Amino acid sequence: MKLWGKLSKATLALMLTGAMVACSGNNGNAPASEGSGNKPAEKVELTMLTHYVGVNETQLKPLIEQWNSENPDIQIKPIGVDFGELQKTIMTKQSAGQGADIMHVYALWGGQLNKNNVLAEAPDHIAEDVKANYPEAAVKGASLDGKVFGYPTEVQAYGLFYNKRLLKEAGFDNPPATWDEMLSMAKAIEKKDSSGKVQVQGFGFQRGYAGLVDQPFMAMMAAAGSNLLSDDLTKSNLNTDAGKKTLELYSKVYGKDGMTDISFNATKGFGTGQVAMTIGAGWWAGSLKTVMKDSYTDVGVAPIPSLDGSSKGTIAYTWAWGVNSKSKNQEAAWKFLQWMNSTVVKDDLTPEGSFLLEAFNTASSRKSDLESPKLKEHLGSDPIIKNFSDALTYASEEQSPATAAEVQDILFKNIESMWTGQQSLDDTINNAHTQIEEKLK
Amino acid sequence: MKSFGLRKETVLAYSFLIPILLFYTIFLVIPVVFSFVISLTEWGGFDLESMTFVGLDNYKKIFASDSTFLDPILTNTFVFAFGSVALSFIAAMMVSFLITRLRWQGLWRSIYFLPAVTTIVAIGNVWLYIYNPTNGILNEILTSVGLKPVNFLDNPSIALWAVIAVSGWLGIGGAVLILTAGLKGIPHDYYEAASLEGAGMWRQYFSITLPLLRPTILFVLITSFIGGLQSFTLTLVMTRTGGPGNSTNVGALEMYNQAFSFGNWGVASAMAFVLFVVIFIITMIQLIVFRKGGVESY
Repeated sequence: MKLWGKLSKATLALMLTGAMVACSGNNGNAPASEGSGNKPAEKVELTMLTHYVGVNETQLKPLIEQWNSENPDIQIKPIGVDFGELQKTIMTKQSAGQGADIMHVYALWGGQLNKNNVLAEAPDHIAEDVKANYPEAAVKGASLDGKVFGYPTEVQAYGLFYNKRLLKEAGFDNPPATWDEMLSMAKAIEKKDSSGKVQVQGFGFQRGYAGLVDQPFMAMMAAAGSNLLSDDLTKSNLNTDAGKKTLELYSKVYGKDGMTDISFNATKGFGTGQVAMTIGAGWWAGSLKTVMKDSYTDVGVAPIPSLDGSSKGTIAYTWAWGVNSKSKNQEAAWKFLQWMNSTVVKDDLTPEGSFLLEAFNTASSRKSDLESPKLKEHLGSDPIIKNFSDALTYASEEQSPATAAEVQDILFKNIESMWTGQQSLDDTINNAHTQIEEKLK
Repeated sequence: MKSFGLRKETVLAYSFLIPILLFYTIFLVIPVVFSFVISLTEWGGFDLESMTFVGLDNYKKIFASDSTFLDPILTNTFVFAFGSVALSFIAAMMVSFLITRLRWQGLWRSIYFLPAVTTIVAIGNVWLYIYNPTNGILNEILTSVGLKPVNFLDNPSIALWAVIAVSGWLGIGGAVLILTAGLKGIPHDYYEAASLEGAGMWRQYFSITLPLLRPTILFVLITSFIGGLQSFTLTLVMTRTGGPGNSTNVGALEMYNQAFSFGNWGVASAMAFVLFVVIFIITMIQLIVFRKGGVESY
């Protein structure tokens, strides 16, 4: 009996201890880095959360190793998370007090991150460096409430991708300059079989998720002369002339009054040489190069067509390196980011510039990188990269109010509803405009 | 002495129960209570200190006239759950009845159970290929007999039903496994006696099999309905956002997007509690209906 009594007590004590251990945790929002106590640490390890995984992670690694070997007191530990999981990872890690010291964030999340005080404001010397050395769209993309929060990295503008061979076969030597030209050329190029299945699509918008539909929409709307939202991010511009005309254009591509079949996959179709024209971001050229192999020579890129053929407009979205407002090692984090983004280390390029070129065949938007002989040579020999690099000089930034993801979801669902015959063009304009304004309140 | 011994036994029993009670407390009770608290707040999901108490505002938002939660999202959730349960249950009843009359019953059960042990992501992607409007096998069949191709997942009138068909097909295996076990539990004597009395196959089915299978049927229906109302992965894989528009959007997917994409954890938690109440009511109705029908074991 005594034995059972002792056993019961011991089990109870063990369980209670276990429960206390399980219930206790890091609930004080302590930073992730080592040496974060009250005493100044000699050596710190900073965690760096990125969406660079797989091959990209491998390409980033030598640069981090270089920094780590030259700076034994500030060691960087990259943590790669797939893009689709990055925002959720930042969210869950931050709420658990395990947020990374350095984060690579998509500017669209900026409003949400700002509202929740996730990112630290950049020190003055960093903010001045960013403002002086990057195009306006990139600076705005890496700013929240007008204050710079980090270094812009992947700044990607949108342009018109076209298949030169398909245009040539239909008798067109040049890409369209106006929306009307684009639609009439698309109708001339479109081919269907006897059952009505599309064999060659003249023009198709890419579909699948909000960003894939909305970003080209915002680029087209910018080409028509307006951003989706007002500059102070409190109003929708969908009921303006530019907004109405852009939605009208969208209604002429798919849906009841559309010229082509919505179910034809324009993304895959362009890669297989079955789509003549679509709208895409600069990074897509790298993917097409891999998919299309020799046929990649058919690919051309032109500025987004406009209403009159003379004005220019597009949008650029931005990724940026930022520092966690909860990190106790912000100074060390900024020191690393300054090296990563502004110090010339190889081929007259910054580590970030070098990485973007190697990993994505993309030009950095930093002025000093653009002046490097290597990048100049690249831009001179690759008209596609040149086109997207030039577009950054007139691109508007992708706007990011605190409810940016919801605003994009509303626009996406309304466009899809119009394309699938669930609502008319007028209802789409009214519904999207009203719902977006409601979210901006 | 007797009461002392009983007290010790009680202590011992509780000590054995403590691990599982702790497990439930940490992983069920605390999260449920925390979720309810979140449903009364505005919280972006990043920092617990930024949680703001808003009372019933989140519930008001999801029941507001311009909210899409009741219609089409909750409506879709019901249609999805009822549709997929009806499909899988009717098919499983037929299949399990036929299997019990075949040789190699284990083999047949395993074959029908295969989809249930395959990851839903893989199944969703396979069906995406089958439904593909340009080169999917279903449209190849339709066009080969002179019919026009169908945009299964791009037509808002049929997209939800296309996903329901996959969900129903997916649910057949699990239901077959349980129903065949229930069928095997019915004593063979009843059938022998009925045969001697001249009852045919259908009479035996409706007068012996169905009544004695009721507890198993109740179990299958309740668990399938709950699963159907909570379904999330298949829609996420097949239509990604619950589109076109909101035509395939269901409650669990909307909650996920509200929480993880939009940072509206309060709204997402309020939706979760509404869905909990809905599931609870439907389960109670099922229990009452079956109890009135003579099932007492649940």
